[in-house]
Amino acid sequence: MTARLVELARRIQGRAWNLPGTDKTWVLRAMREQQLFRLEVSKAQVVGTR
Amino acid sequence: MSEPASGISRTLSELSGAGVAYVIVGVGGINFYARTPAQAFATLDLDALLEPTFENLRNALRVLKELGYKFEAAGEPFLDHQDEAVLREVVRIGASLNALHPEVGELDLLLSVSGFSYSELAADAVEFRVAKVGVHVGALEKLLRSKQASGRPKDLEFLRAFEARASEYDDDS
Repeated sequence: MTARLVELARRIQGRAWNLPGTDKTWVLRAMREQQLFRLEVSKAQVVGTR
Repeated sequence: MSEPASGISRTLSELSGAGVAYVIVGVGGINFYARTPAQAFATLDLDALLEPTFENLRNALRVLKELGYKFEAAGEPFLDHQDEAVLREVVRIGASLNALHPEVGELDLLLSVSGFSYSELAADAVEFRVAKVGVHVGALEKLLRSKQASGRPKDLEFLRAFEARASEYDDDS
C-alpha cells in the first residue's frame, strides 16, 4: 500500500463525517439501492442500437 | 431524525442487540467512510467479521435464522447451522458463511480475514450509528491493508480505484 494511501486513510477517518457516533444508516440504504439497480439492469432486455 | 430499522439495518441491530460480536469489514466497511452516497463503491454483499468463537457463531446464526435468512457455504446450502461440531470446525478453519435473505440481500459471515485477527480489528474499530444502534466498523487503514494482504487481483484493483477516488472521500469543501 502506498504511503499516500495510508496518509489519506488516516485523514479521511479523522474527518468530521466519520467521527464515532455518526449516523451511517444512509450508507446501507445506498448500498442496497445500488444492488437493486444492478439487479434490474442485469434483467433488462438488450436492445440493438444499430 | 433516525428512521426505524429495516432491511440490513434491522439485521445489524438485531445482531448487536443479541450480543453478537462483529466488526464490519470489506468494501462495505470502507463505504462507511464515504461522505455521500455517490462515493460508495458497488458491492453485492456486506461482510461481517465475527469474533471467532463457537458461541458467537451459533448466536449469530440463530438471530439470522429468526430473521428469515438462509445459509450457504462455498455456494452450497449450509444446513448444519445447529450442529456444534460443524460450527466449531467452521471457526477452527476460519471459514466463511453466506447469509441470504430474499428482500434484505446478502450478509457474509467471516471467521477470518487477511492481515488481521478479529481482536486487532475490533481494538480500534469505529462505532457508528445505524438505526440508533452502535455498529463497529474496522479502521479504514486496516480495511485497506487487509485488501492488500489478500493479494487477490480484484482487491488490488479495488485499492487502485480507491486511491484514484480517495480525494473525493477527503474533500471537506
